Amino acid sequence: MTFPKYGNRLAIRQAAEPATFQKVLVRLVLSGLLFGSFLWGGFTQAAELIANPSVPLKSVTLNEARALFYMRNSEWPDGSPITIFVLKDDNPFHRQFSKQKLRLFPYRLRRVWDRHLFSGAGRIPEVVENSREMINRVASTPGAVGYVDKESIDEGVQTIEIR
Amino acid sequence: MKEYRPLRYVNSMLLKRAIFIVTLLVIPLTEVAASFQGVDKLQVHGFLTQGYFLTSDNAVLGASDHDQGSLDFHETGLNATYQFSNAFSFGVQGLFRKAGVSEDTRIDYAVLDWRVGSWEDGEWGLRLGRVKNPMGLYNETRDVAFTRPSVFLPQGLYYDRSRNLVHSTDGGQLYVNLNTHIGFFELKGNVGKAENDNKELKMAIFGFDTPGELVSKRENYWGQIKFESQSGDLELALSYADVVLDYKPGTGDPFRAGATRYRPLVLSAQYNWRKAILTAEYLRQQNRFNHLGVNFPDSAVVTESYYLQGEYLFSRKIKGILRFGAHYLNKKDRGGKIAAANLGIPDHRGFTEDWVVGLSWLPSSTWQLQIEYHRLNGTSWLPAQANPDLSKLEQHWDMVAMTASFRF
Repeated sequence: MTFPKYGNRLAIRQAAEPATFQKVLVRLVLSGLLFGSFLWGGFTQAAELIANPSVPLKSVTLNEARALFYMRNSEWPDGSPITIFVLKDDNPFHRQFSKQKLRLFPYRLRRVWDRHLFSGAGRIPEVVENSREMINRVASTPGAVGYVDKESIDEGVQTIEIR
Repeated sequence: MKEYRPLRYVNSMLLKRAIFIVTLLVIPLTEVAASFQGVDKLQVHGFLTQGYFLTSDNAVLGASDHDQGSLDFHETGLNATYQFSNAFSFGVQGLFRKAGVSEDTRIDYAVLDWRVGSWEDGEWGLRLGRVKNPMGLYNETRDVAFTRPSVFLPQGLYYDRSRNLVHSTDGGQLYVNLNTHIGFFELKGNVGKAENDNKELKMAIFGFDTPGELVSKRENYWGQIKFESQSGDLELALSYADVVLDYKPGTGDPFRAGATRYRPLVLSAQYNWRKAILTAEYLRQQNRFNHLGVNFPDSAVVTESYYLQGEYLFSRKIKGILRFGAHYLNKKDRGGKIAAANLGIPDHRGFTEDWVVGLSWLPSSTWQLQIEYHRLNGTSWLPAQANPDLSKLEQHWDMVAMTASFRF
């Protein structure tokens, strides 16, 4: 113990080597589990496209779904008006729906809506606060379309599949 | 003939203050309104922007070339949209804008939208009132920071000094929207008159503030065909306009009653690839000056401008931008030598080449901060009103520009 500091440090490092390896293993397993559960959670919590029961569609193509949220359509084939409901831009479900279902970064939708809003030419969606309001508004507005997490869906609205 | 009086002459300090106060009042009111049922057909939105500009030389939007830079740039807008029925809606936007020495409060747009007809894959209709002019990708929303990729829109295409001529038409717009299997087509055609405050443009044409006026007496035409691919990844647009401003001489005017005519053609392309956006636009504008008298021989000049722009989203809150833009007032005189010899102005008044690098930060969905650096060669788009002594303009200059914006 002539050089206690030096000696101790060596001892610590030697002792730490196997422990670090084990820790890495444990962390790998843990993060794997976490990541898996995140994926699974994301999967089960996925936002679904919903519509008022009056909407005469059971499924739409990806591009048709995008066209709805780009506000390119104003009425259904039977002539009834289309109303689009969305959550606020920074709502996690909005981002999730945009990215996973429409496969668009949310800024793309915002850009189209802002162009309509600030030019006085074109429609913009109506913004709701949360899943509950989304369900209520879509259920009570003929021709309405929106999105909501799977668990919140009730019999007042229909789910529309994106092919 | 009854003299044409556009809405802006109704303006007063009162209206200006009213817009500002109403904007501040409406922010909390919208929260209240949202809690009522049955107001969903009325939507109210607005924005506020404050700018800061610092230049090495040359005044841009205030005394930006002084030590502390310039804060003389605000934009305040308030708009309301009301949906009467599936076929009728009304939208109006009031705008207060201070840009350097010029202050402007006006009705930005006031449109009755009548969707006349529709079929399975399309619709057509009319927008009546003060309608925004479709020109390139950004003109219709040029005064709203949240729609601009950078603090400055590319000035060769969206230059400030002709803004009153370009931003809107008092008249009407015919529109057609078509959904096809290859994508979405949007056609717009405007007919009507422009606003009658074109002092900056007049100074650009004659080189000084003449006693006369440039007035919009005849119908102007604006048109655009826009294509968006089904996914929205690709956007293409072709815009064209035919605009005539008549020159009404003042007392002791060296110029006679004549006409000026502008025919811009703009090609636009934008491609979105995941987190990157590539944009390019090209302008070719024919300008004609006729019957202005012996001091201004009839002439025809072609203005050319283009830019290439790349944007990248580093995260959902931070976006970077890199752009090169060029502007040549006279395609046949890119170096400005002929204009310099004829008008006695510096040759760099004939062109501008502008490199821009910048960042946008969106800390929340209601706030935006933009900052950018410009390296410029040329002074073609600098306002003469802010730089009365043209001989003091510097050809090579730098600029830092910033805006902070709030929306609701």
